[in-house]
Amino acid sequence: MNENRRKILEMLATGKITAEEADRLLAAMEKGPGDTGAPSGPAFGPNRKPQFLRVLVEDEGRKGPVKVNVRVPMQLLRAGVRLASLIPPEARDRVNWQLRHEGVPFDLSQVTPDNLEELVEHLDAFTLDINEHNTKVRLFCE
Amino acid sequence: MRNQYFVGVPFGLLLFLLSPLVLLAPIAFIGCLVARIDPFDAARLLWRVVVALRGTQVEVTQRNRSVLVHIS
Repeated sequence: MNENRRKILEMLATGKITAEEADRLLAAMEKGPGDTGAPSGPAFGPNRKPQFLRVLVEDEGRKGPVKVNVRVPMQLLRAGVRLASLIPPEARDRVNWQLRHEGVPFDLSQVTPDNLEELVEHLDAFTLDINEHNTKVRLFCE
Repeated sequence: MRNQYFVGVPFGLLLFLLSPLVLLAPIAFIGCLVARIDPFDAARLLWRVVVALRGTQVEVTQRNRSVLVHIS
């Protein structure tokens, strides 16, 4: 663990900063000294690939508001999609058929590592906002 | 007063916690052979998934309580 990370975690442990502030500092530190992008939304330079998929959920539950903030490394998505290559051809055909049946004309066999990289590169502009009743969901890459 | 908990999970600890799953390896191996999947390929890809968990962060906040889990 490097010194800066240790300091941030110590400040969090002693209550000097909130978990969100610590997260922001850690993210800024990981991005490097030239980057000051905030994690509240997608922010990229011209040649920057998204590093994380972020899911923010806010729910006005009966026991008070609940916030869930999940950060998933893009590497995990890549690894997960590569697992699709293990699906036996018969099962893949059944999945494709079911997807077509549900109105999603998508062929799983077309997901190759090259296509995946292309997809990830284009995720920088991807943002999904869902507002329903008392629940807000925000999904973006950073 | 806000209660904040930070749980940093080192990758080594994660591996330790997942290690009992190795006991299921023979069953998974046979399952792969039955499904005509290369078991070594499957193991390699699963390992990649586990390694890619580094950097995952989950934070849940309710009222004045906040829990942050970070896999480092």
